[in-house]
Amino acid sequence: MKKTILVVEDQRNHSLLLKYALEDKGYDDIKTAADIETALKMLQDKKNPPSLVCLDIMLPKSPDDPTIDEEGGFRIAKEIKGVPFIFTSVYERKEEIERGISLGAKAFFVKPFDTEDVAVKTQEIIGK
Amino acid sequence: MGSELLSLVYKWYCKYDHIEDLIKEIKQGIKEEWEAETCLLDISKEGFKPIIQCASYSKDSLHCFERKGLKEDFEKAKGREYCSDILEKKKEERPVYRLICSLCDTNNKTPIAILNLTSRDKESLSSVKDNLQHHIALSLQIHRAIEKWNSLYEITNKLTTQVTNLSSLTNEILKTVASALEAEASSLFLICEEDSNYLELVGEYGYTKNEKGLKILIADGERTGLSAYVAKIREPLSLDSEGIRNHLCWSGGKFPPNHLPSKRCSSWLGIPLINTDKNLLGVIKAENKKDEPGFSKEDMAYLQVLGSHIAICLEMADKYKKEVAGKEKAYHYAISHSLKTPLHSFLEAIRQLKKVYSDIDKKCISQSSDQALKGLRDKYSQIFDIIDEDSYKFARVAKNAIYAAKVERKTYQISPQVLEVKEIENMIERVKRIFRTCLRKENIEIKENIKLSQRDRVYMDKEQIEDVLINLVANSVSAIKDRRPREKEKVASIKILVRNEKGKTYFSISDEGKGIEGDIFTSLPSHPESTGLGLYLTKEIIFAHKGEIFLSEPLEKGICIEFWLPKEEKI
Repeated sequence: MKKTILVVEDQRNHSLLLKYALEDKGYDDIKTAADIETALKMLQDKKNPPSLVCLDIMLPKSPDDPTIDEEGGFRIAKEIKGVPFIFTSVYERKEEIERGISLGAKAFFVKPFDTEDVAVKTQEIIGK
Repeated sequence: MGSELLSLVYKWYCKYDHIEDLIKEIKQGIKEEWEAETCLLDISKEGFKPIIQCASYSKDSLHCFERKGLKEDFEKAKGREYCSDILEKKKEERPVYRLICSLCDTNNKTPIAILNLTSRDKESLSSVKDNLQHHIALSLQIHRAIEKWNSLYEITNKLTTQVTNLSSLTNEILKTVASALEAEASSLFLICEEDSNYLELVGEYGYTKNEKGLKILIADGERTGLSAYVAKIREPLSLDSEGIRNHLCWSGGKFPPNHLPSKRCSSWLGIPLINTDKNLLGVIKAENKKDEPGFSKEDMAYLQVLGSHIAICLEMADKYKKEVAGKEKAYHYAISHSLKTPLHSFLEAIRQLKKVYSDIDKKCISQSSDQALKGLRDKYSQIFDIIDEDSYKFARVAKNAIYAAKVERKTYQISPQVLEVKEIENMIERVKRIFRTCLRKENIEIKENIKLSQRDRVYMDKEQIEDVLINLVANSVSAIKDRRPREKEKVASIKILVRNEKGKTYFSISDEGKGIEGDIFTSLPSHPESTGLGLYLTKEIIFAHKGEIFLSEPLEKGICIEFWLPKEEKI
């Protein structure tokens, strides 16, 4: 079965690099969302649910509202049902990492991270 | 003449803030009015020093007493309250009169100075002998006191300028207290940040040799020493030698030996440092009043006034530190966000671009017979090598700058974790990978030898020790390049050895470079390609791990830098 990965990241450079690193590992259906609203819409699409979600935490609210929600990633995580997800964030404080893990994240990557590491972790979680 | 001098003395009482002005006035007054030789000698612990001299006296005033055959009077005046007879000496046509008297402390009658007056006016000398002697003594005493209290203004000003740096403030406080009280030693204890039931020694000055960070419990019934006692009662305490030994805080109790005042301690003065909200901040104490059996009431009053200011300064320093730490956090976050993150993505982009290029190369270029295309391929590879090498150099400089900012602002921290041997191997592999282009170009090889068993564990901040290795390897590469700028045909090697010894993990990095001179860990290296921060930061990182870094025994060629990291529980 084709595995879809949803990368939620507002920095285009980062999402692109992560996309390529994942593609390099053989995942060829990578979707990206750059804000909370778009990400939630994509998650509600029942036809093609992602196999894994890569979530940044600080995110803009919507394509029209660039205000940064500092806990946007946490909010999205609460809406994810039955899909494994990982956080990728600039947050490096223990409390935030613990909070992320307590929400059910399979991993927490503090930026800047090696995209290769995320791709390897993805393989571990959802297989090739 | 007598009344004129009396009014002059009263003027001294009220007018002058500084002893220099008083001395000037006495000098002028005596010289103008009396037209003769005058000398006022201060009796200090070190001997005698003139505080004023007029007319023909030489610098050596003691000598002048001997020369004039006045030694006997001088000796008498030195030891007790004394006033000589008015001596007459024929000189030229008019006679000259001389008077030698002691100026005594009004409280204990011990001489504090000797006045030696010579005048042609016998009447004025008589007025000194009758009553002015005591006025002059009192005026001198008052002005010495004024001078001392006035110095508080300067001292407090000086302390205030140090609040941006707690450690230099501490040093200044300790030095100031010891010198103002003429004490041999001083110590500052502050309430322990982690546990307010303890006092923590933050600094010492003088002969005492306690370890910084020593903690003393403040509690009833616990015999923990005089400073803890002062903290407990929140009152100043002054003791002489006997008072120290017999103090109730020792009686019957057992106390750790390092909480006892040292055997040398013959007098003790300590006060609690209390802030404006009446909270105890700590205790400051002085030991051994120089040449006195104990500290005076005046010393205690002085220290209390100084103590209030010390408390204010300590609070300011604490507030400053917290504010700065807050700003630093934001600053470092800004740096890591605005510098580190794009840099990382830049390196990532290059890595991926190389991958894409190699795919293109495999699929198209290598199979093509187009010579022009092959030429382009060579160019492309060379340009990539440059980007590869320089981007890592750039990354290293940026990272060092971030470390340096943290170290300088004392907000640098490590996050150590337990690592398995495999991770150490991976770390060294990564270091080799970073330098691969440069190593190939310079014909240098890195040989590692990890003498650890699979069961061994190393406790370290992985990222930072990796940076240490990168910095050290970068230095070795530079040293080798410097030694043989043109002869690259022979392989030069950099050896990385990791071993365990007595519970410590040793890393040594040796090269066949041109060697290094001077204190390489404190001075900034002079290599043109160096950021000048590498070894300095390397040292800070190792120190933060509570390890050590040093230059090992000189090699035949090149150098070997070694560092060790302690076991987990020691950090």
